[in-house]
Amino acid sequence: MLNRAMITGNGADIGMTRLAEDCGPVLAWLQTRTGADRLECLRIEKLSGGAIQENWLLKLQITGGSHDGHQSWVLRTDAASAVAVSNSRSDEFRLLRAAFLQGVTVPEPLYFCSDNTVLGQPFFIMTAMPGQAQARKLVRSPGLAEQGLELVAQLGQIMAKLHSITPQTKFKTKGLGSEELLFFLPRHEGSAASFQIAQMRAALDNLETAHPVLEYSLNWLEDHLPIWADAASPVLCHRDFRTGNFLIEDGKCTALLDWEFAGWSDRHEDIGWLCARCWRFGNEKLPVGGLGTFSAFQKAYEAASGQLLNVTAIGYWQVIAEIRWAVIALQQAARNNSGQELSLELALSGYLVPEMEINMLNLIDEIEQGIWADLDS
Amino acid sequence: MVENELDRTPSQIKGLIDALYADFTGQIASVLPENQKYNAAMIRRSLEILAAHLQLDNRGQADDRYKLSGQTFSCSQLAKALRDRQDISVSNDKLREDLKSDVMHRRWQANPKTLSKPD
Repeated sequence: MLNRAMITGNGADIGMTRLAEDCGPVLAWLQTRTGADRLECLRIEKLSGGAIQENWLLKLQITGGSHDGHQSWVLRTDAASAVAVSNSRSDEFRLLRAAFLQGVTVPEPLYFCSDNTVLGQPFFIMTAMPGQAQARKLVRSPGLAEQGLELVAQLGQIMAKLHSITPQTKFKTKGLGSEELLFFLPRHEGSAASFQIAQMRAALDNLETAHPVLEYSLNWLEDHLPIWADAASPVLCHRDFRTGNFLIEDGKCTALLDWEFAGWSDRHEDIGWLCARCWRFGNEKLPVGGLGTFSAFQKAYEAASGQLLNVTAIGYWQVIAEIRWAVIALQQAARNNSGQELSLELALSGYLVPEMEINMLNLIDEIEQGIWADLDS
Repeated sequence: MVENELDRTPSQIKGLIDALYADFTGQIASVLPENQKYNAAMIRRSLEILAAHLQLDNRGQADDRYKLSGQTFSCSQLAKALRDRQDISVSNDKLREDLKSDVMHRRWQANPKTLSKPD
């Protein structure tokens, strides 16, 4: 049996897919995939967050088939305007599968749909995980003083597990043997650091506005490449591993979300991003995402990965993190300013850029003057 | 007469924005449902930025000009000079200081209610 579910959330959102109007085709597709005799949708709710993707919580009662019983799943699909550099939903599904098979703390990916007649665009289904993702709530949580150190240590372990995936990793899948799941991820020549500088310059070239501070900072990074660029083999990086992109419940991380930017890179890129000043949400003294100290994270990461971190390099990766977030904010503002997608949230993104600019200039000052020693100082 | 009209317009627009801000924050935002609080915060911030923009003095209006070592660069000229690694005859530290000064001004424009206006 299929029914129209109770739909909650902001129905007037720009970019909402036709899921809100009629979830019948999705439910029919799911019934076939699960082999269910009966599939009833009790509730559909658009989850908050996600300017680039939409996430919908599906509460299902399934009778028969592979997932008999009550199920809480999430449907993930593109929002109205996806970002060119982000992975497609099919790629993101493969990335999630690779991470899940490696034992990274992620939702279990269940089904991918490439048939556009179902929803009008590709989507995938994964298990819903409990927890809070809102960064400002997490960094102000009363339990943080007690739980913060353990939490960032767990994040270190999760990141180490993720970074154990390399281009050579073969994943064991039930009954299918080994799979090269991540064949589609591009490899780049040279160091990830040089690649990032080139990527940022190319992104700036595509904007209609000029940004001397970003140009200056990219030159500075390029001039210091011998200090921070590592030609070692790349590892799988999430490339958006930060507070706001993982779920926390009772002081523990329950799932790492949003794999749309994942790719091969230098392990220090993920650490620089997680610890960047722009992602501490006001908790400046807690460098790991505003949640805990770097020493607790580092100890857990190094123990789990068997790799010593180059702490000096992380300072430089923090500078590029500020540049990258500034560029993304400028791209978002440009989407509004060009009329492509009118949105106050996108328009205001452009006003975040001076924060990242002052962060990168201060960091450069500190590194130049020898004040920057490690992240906890 | 024409000059007076030109002078009056920003003052009227500023008055309109101030009134809109007062109405919105005093009467409208407080009665919005919980799921509209984020949108309300964005509208409030936008009005603050607009009001601050109208207060800009000549320095603010011309803030895309950089005076470095006797040369004046527009924002795009400086960005291009940096990309092309041109010699702009200014020390690295001085350049960073000037860039910071510009950023501090733009940072205030983006957060006029929470930051003090830089000198």
